[in-house]
Amino acid sequence: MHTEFNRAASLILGIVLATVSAWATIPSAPVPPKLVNDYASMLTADEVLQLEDLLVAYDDTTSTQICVVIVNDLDGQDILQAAYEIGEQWGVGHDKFSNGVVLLIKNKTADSGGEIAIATGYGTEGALTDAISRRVIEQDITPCFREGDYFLGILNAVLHIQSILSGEDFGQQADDEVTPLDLILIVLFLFVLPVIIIVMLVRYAKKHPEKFNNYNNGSGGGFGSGSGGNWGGGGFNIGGGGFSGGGHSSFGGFGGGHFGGGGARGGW
Amino acid sequence: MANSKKSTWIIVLVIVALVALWGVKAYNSMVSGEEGVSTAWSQVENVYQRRMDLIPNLVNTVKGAADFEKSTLTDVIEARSKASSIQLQANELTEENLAAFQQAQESLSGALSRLMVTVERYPELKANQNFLELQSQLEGTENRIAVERNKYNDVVKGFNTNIRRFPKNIIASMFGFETKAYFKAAEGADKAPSVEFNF
Repeated sequence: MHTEFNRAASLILGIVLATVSAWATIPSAPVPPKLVNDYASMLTADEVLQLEDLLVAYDDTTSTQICVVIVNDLDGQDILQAAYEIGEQWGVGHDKFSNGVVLLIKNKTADSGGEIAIATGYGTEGALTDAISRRVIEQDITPCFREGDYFLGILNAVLHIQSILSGEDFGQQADDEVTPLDLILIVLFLFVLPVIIIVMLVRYAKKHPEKFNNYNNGSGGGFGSGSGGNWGGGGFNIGGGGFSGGGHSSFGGFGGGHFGGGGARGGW
Repeated sequence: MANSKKSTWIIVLVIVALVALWGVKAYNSMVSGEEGVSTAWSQVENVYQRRMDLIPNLVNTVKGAADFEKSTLTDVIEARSKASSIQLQANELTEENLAAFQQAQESLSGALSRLMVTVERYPELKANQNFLELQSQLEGTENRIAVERNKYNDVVKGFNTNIRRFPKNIIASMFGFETKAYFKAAEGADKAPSVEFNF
């Protein structure tokens, strides 16, 4: 009886939870991944490239990912919530540091005003506080946007955010690179381990020559040839990531950072 | 004859070993599930604490405004102290405990949004940089609360499903794992109360 009630309650809750999480209709992550995503054509192609280069270079040197998204419509969604959803679902910032920032802009349309939101990841919200995010919006973006200079507004904001976050240390992509420890382990597996195994085998063969037919000097006994274990097969597969060195102008992809709902909003 | 008896024993032993192995695996998944719930819960506590920490500053800033209504401020202070008196550990997340926690926090949310509405009548506050920044911190915090509550509910949903489903529920009841309570999305509480202004 009690459990029946519980089950019903959890079912209802499940439905409520499902609807709550369904409030989000954000654009799906771009393929191939890009840091500047202008779905509203507020910027020229050249401006998009310029910003992309700036942000990719910043990602390369600091591992911090600042993602700019521009849309025409939010489907009635709260803009700060939408910015959070983008950050969390696209995984802006690196998994280990959650050092992502999302700058979401909703363009002015005939029947709605322009909106701006900055969402910060768990790793960036310490330096880029809600109050500072608000300042970035009100001092860097809004004045330019009112003049119609969208590129300059975004550029100012990005530069400001970068200077604020430059004091933070996010391990400079340590997670993507092969550390000395990894190298030692690889060397161990590839060279040292086989050598040890061979040495041990040779010793074993010398101690128990009767088990190896070839060295059998008569006397009949012995165990015959044995099955002569099979040492082939398997093999170590140390492929995976490879030693990619991070290209210069192309973005390596979102890193799976997490967001906690921090940030600020504004409008123009 | 003796041989078949022996093999029966072996089969029984293998089955027992397999069941035991499954039991250990199930138990471990519940332990890590519970660990996940308490991590999610501590995040929830963090963000609520963050809001508590903002309030003294906010109250002081607002107090500075000429003849600001004292009653709204006292409401906020009282609701804050009531909310801070209810602290829950991760192993106390029962329906009634969480309901009490949520109620106390929601009356604080209510007092805060009444305060923010009252502020509308004080233009000097709306021009006060310090106040505006506090207000944006408060909004960010309300947003964080909504996010962490959602994340907590998701984790709890996974945990509860895990320990309720047959046959794992046998292991769960053997070791006393209990379902954890959800935050209720009553009265649109899943969305942050609006503390926005028109600038």
